[in-house]
Amino acid sequence: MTDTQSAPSEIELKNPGLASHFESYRQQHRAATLGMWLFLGSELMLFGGMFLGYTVYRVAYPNAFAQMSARMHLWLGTINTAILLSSSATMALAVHFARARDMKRARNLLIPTALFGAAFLCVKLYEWSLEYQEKLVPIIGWDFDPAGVEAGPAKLFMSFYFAMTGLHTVHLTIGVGLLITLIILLTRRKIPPENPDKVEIIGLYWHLVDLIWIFAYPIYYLAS
Amino acid sequence: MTEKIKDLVDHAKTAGEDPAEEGGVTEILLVWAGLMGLLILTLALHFLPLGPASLPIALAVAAAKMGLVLAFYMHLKYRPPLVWLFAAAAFVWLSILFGISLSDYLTRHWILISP
Repeated sequence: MTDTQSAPSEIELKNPGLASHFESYRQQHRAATLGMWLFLGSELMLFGGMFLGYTVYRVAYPNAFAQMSARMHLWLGTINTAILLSSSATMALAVHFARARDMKRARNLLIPTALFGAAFLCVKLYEWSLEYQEKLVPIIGWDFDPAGVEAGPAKLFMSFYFAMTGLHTVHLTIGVGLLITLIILLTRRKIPPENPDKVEIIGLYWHLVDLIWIFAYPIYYLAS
Repeated sequence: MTEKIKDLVDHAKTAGEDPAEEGGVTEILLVWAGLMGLLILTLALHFLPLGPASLPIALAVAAAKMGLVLAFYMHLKYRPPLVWLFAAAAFVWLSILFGISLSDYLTRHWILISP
């Protein structure tokens, strides 16, 4: 079966960015929205399992978990939360301008969003390095010194902390990559003003990354 | 009666698609101010001696932040109910996960007293 590429039809020329199996932009937007929410639901299930694991062990070892939470770097976590909340605001503004067909402003607002994401990564890596110095990384063969807290539950807390913040950081890095891609696409005018769905969809992903952190912040930093 | 049904169907066809109906710059910035306010609130509450209620209260503030992000930034307020359903489905699943699991773990140490 050969793939025949014909010249763009009149429909395609009049409707840039409208996939051939959709009747209208509205239909395409609805499909994109529902599909993205389905994916976000699967991401919530992924992190939900980790949140449940933390909850179960918190019920089992409330004192040890509270004590370990007091040893977390509260101010770094708070700064990170503020950074992500602000990045959600700039992302929402970018989506607003993209939907209003102002692609230049949309691109200009994606840049601070990506920078906020990068700032979060820097703070997070710095924070992990501090925890390494404080001997709180529960890797076999490494020193682990919970300083007065029962070793087993302390390791559990730190394991959940690194697993959850690690997975969240991976998602954030992917998000920053997507944002950079969007910035490049918008700069090259590859996203038509008639169909700014890409910006909105990636915005939904970015807000989800923010939502996960909104819940991870209290359970690790405010749980004492 | 058919007029009403026709109006409903027409509204459903066009609902949630007009960018002009969605929140503008002012709304986005107001929500940001609300989110930062909630962050300051949760931090302030952390320093109060609330005992074992401190974590549920912190989670309640987090839920309020989540509500703001979901409704305004993720545009759920402006989308048709089907999108709400998709968003709610994940949380329903989470409530099943947490509900049934915690019904085990929270009752592990209960002692059954026979009548």
